[in-house]
Amino acid sequence: MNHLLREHAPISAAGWQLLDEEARQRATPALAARRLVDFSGPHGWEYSATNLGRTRRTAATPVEGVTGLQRVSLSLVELRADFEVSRAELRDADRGAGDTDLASLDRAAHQLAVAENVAVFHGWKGVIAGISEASPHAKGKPGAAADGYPRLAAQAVEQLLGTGVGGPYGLALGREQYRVVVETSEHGGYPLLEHLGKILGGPIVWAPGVDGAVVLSLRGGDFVFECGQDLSIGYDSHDAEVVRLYLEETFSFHVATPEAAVALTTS
Amino acid sequence: MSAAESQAVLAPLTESAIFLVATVDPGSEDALREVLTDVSGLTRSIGFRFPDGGLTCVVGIGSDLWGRTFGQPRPPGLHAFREVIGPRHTAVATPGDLLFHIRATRFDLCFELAERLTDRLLDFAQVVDEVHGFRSFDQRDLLGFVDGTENPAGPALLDAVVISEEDPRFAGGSYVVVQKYLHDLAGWDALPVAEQELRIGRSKLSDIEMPDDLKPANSHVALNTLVGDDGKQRQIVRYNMPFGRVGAREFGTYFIGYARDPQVIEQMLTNMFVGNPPGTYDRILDFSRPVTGNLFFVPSADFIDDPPGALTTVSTQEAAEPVGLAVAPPASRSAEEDGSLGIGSLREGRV
Repeated sequence: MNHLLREHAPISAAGWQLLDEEARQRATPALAARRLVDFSGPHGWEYSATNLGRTRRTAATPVEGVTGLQRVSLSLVELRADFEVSRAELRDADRGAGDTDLASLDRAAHQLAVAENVAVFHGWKGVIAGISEASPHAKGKPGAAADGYPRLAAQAVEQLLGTGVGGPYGLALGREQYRVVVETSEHGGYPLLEHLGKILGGPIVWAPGVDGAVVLSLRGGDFVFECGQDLSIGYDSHDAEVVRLYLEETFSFHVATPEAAVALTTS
Repeated sequence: MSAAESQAVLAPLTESAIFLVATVDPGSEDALREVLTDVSGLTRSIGFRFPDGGLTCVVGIGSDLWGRTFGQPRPPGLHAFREVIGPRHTAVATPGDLLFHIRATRFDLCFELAERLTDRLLDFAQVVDEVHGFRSFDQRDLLGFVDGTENPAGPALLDAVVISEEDPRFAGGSYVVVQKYLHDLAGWDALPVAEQELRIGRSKLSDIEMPDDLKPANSHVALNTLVGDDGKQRQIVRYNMPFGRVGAREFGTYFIGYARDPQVIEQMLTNMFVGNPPGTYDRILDFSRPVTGNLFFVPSADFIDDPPGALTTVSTQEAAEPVGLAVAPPASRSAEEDGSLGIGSLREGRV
């Protein structure tokens, strides 16, 4: 048994399968960062830091005539979202009920995915430097009108090419921006989504939590998401009525090439 | 997890076979991985030239090579072949990282594939044993007895050989033990047939097993009949082949036994060399001695076609689960192991 203590929960094997499957289904569509950045791992729960290969000189050393360097690494973060499941619902599921109420789990799964996206694309103050804050390029502004998107995307691609960052390029769109893009066809009926796809050469991703849009290179090596414990459900406690569980993951994220992305933010 | 496809372990008996055992130089694991992914393609394209030839190739991987190339998880039954030392005879252990078991109805197909494979391995592997087997009259070995009669048939065949739900990580896999036996044919032929039959445990001409009350405890058949705790016979599947060089007076049998659990074969070897009870060693061994001995794991076909990526650990030791900060990142874990949802990367075209 590992630290998730799943064996201690009053949940049958079928129940666990149901919960895992539900969480997977709910989280996967929203995990936008994982569609766009390099993924390494999972390296396990006990994995604590990403090697950056960097050092910093120490102020003093214990003995004169000796120099000292301290390694600089990037600590992983733990993200956790608690939720509850009704034991009566679980019992019904074991009887074969197909409409189990797992709203609390669904919310937790979505929140965790959004938190991951925000951390990767916009950063986590004092903990993770995100793609858009690291990018040195001037930030464009996606207007409310859809017809500006192809021009912005083309500008962003040109900016990246101008700094020597090759493609293909991907596009992460916030919820509102995604809706605008998907619902629009340009003059003549050509879907905007496909036009953008032609400009970028890579995927256009629904990224809840992203403010505006981010264009980034997918050539690899520029953005590194290192996963310790991949998304998992763990057990916290239970009483006669409910089982308290949580969704959890550990990861680090760092931008190796700040100029490999262009942010288009609304704020 | 869906049922993984096994390699062509359970191919029907063929007229020809080539058994290649090779060692692989340390540091060439990446090159090897590439060759492995090409094995099924090579087999297909050569086999296609004679579709009825039934060309197949099974790849086995030895314990040390597994640790160097794939690390964790490792097949639980995989370890270096354990020498079995009996009162008179010894089942020797010899070097070997890689096994190719090549079979076809025509020798040319086997030879072509063996040549192509060794050509690819030339820079970093050495063939340490090569045996060209042929099928002899009604599957007889060179001692004149029918070999392989006791192979299970039908569903029991699959059941004896292929790992399934007992270990989902290695489902579709199998273990294989090979031993090259050389016969003292002159000595054997000097024995009266009745004496030979007592040593084997079945009749020579008609290949019928002796009744239990007549069959000696130290006969080959008696010692190789294993019954499990559940009363069911524990079986393996043999694809033995005779081989020889008449000018050199070399006559032999290449023993190759596949099993779902290598302990079954190891128990048979203990019975043969030490005896069961100890002392009743297999009397066939007085005329037939092993000169090689290896254990390999036979991964599923999917594994060979697309082996896991390079180890991220620097050391090649067969490490226990690494703990804490003091280690390089361990190889990625599967969802079954860490209890996670197993989502991982969602990038298209990536694993």
